[in-house]
Amino acid sequence: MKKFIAAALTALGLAMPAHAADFPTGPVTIVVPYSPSGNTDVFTRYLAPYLEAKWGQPVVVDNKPGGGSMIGTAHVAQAEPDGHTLLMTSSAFVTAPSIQPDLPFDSRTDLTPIINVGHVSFVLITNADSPYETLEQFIEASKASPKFAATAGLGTTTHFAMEKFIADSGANVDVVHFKGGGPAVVSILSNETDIYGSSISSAGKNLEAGKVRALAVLGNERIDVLPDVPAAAELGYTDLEIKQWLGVFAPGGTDMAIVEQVNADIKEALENQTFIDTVTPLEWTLNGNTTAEFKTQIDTELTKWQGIADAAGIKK
Amino acid sequence: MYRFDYTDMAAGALLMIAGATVSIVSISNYPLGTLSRMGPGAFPAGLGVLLAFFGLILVVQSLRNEGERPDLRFWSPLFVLGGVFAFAIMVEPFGLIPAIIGITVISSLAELRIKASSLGLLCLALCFLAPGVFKFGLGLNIPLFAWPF
Amino acid sequence: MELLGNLGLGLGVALSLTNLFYCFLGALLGTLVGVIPGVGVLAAISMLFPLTYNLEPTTALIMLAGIWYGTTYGGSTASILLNIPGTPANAVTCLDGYPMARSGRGGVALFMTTVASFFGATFGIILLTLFTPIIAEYALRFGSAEYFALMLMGLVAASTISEGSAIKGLAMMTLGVIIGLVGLDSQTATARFTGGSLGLMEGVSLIALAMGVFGVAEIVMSVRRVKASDIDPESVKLKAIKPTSDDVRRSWFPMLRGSSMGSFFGTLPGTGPSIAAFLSYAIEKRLSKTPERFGKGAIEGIMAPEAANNAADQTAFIPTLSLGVPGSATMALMLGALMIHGIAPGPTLISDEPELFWGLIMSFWVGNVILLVLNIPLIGVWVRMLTIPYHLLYPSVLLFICIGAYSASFSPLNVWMVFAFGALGYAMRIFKFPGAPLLLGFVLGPLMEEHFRRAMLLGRGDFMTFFDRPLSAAIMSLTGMILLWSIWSSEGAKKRRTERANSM
Repeated sequence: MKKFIAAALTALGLAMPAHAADFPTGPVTIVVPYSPSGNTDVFTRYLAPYLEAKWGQPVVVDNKPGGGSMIGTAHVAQAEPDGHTLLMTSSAFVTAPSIQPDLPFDSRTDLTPIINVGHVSFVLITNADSPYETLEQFIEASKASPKFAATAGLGTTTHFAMEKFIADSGANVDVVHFKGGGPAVVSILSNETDIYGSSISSAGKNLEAGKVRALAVLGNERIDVLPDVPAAAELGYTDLEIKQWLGVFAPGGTDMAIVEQVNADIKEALENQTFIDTVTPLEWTLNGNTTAEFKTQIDTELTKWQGIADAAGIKK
Repeated sequence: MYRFDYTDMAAGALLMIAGATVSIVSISNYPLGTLSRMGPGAFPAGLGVLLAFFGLILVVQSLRNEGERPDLRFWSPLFVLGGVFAFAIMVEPFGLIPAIIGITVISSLAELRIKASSLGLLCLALCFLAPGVFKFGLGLNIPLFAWPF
Repeated sequence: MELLGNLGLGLGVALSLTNLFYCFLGALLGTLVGVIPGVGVLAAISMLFPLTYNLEPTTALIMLAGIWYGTTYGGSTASILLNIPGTPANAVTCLDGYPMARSGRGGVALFMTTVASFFGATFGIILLTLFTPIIAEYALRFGSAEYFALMLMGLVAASTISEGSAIKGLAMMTLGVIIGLVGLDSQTATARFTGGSLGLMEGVSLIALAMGVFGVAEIVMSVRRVKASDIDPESVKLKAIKPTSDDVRRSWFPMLRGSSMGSFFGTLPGTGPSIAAFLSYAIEKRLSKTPERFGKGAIEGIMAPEAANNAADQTAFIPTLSLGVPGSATMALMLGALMIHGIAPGPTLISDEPELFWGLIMSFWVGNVILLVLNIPLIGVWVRMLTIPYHLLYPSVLLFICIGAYSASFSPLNVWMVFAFGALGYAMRIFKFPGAPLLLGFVLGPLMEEHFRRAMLLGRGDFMTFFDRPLSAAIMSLTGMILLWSIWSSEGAKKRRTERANSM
């Protein structure tokens, strides 16, 4: 119906061709491929009012969960490329294609990357009562008797993080999948598994309460909330950088002028101090890169995760 | 009364077919894996065998019991399920209101003798009530009317 | 005395005018959603979730929690009056509640389940208040092997629930488990039995299954048979809700046992109210001296499960709040409500946010009092539903089922599933197969597989892992005992029957 009206209006010459200056001409829908209340949803709902104020048009957050975020992503890939349907998704965008072979869209061409809005860092944790004070001790111990690594589920960022860690360190570790970050942290608390690459947000309270111990940050630099925990790069793992990010996409073939405008408008919101203050407690580090940078990042990561999936023999 | 419980016999046979199908599909399509790292086929393959086994017991038991005529109906399932069918095909292309009218009219036919006036009133009432509860009460995002062309 | 101080603090928070209002709103919405067949609590909470963005975190949680336990209160209403469970946790309530309503005791059944719900919830809240930190530590001792053992026990015990052949119960349970496996395998990302459908990757919808097998099938069987005139007009008057002294006498122990079962299962992430309700029904039937009354309107058969599922609703908050581990998708939404406001649940929540924690707990109690007060006068309204001519009632129920299923994921796929499961449910009625074990198998199936495979992996492929771990071994031997007992007692019953036949 909406399309029908839009088409009718265009036919009558009431609507101008999509010029960046005219964007948006109607309500903008941001599709979130996760259920309400998840990290992605919360972030999007914080962002929406800023864009609404900027654009003077309603910005609707539409949850289309399922298929490990791929259902909502497919929906946007098939939407009209006029900038009025956008996608806010997580790094599942680059990890999922390497384990779900039959996606009804091409991650490289059917979606146009707009902006990377922020990321959460990952840390390797063990039970606080475990004998491992450093990552080195853990790797040595695993060579003597094999250990178990928890993940938040097959194909999740934490899974890829653990596979990459095993490949780079040569530790003798088997991965065990749990359903979500919560149960994975619990498996560390209950000593069912030995190590887990947790996002800061799911490990946070248990780190604070001294129930788990952080061995390393999965990245090249230390992070502000855990100044005493070494970065993986310091320990000699220079390629062990794993982050869960959030990014905005438009359907493939969207006018680049619109893409650049959305990029600039979102960047403006990310620099707003009130916005920064609301999302900081959620452990997000805000980014806001250019469209070209984000495009390069997506291409590199798609190749990188596919490589890890193939090397680790993760089922296709 | 029948000499054997034919209803149970048929049910048992259906379970055996269903169980065998599940097992065969699992074994031929999904890897079974090893004991420590089981593949996606192992659990359903086992369950299929279990289901077929229960079916077999049911068939054997049916030979020892007398049976009654099963409670078969024709028009009720046809119209009730037909109503659900109508809702499923209409809701997306035509919108909520046409789907409501479709399911109400078709499923009401199951009653076999219906008065047009009471059916009309029911349709009208539901067209106000259902969107009232779901669209405005619970804030659901369903279009009331849509145009598929 | 610290506890009293905390409770006082909590009560102060819970009784503030704003919180009281949202608690009432949540409880009311929950009751309504529970009564409408086809709308699950998860769907209801996700739809209303955006409302809470602008509320204080405590207030938001109080309202969401009100919806959560309110649906379980309301869910028993549809079970009793229409033989369609409002929520899966209410499915066993159908077994005896519906016969009660058919014999003109619907008012009594509704009143007594309200009492049982209140009793169970209060029991759960007391445990929640006194033992949250201890229970949270205890739950950590349950690994995958223990969870698998528990679920196996649940299934074995529940197979004895239904009338008639135990084989049919077991077969339906197995079928339920198989249906539960449809979708993306969580361990290998293999799509199983999906036929290439992207929507089926998420698995079969619980609402579609429950509404098809129970709701649509019930309607098919009742059309042109159920007449409003069958109901004695006296039985829908408000004074007809008064239970007999026999009802009251029979209800105490089932309520107590149900509450204990519910409180226990509620605390274990992933199990929750449904298993608790099924198991407590099975136990009542086993313990009863007159098990033949079950399925024909035995009051114990509604009291135990209703106390159990409401107790479980409350204790489900223990792992959610103290470990930060949601036991169900609904609890994950509750966690989300906290995260939005920058509060991360976990071991330090109680000390960091005492107002939130104690305020929430006391609001549960306030909410349950509200529900009690709200539900008893409503019984008269609900029972009147029985006097609506069936030819007007059933198309409406069918419509609500379809919209509910559609709105669970905004796709007609769920409505097609209702269609398919309606056909399956009708076939099951013809062949006299019970629906409840199918539902339980479906709920537990994927969890069982997941825990089984994980336990085998952690045990490095050795089946003995289930017997080497003391807790798991204990549960396994209990399961064996239940199995032996049920074989022994069914043999005994057969013998008694033949003896009686011979003596005649």
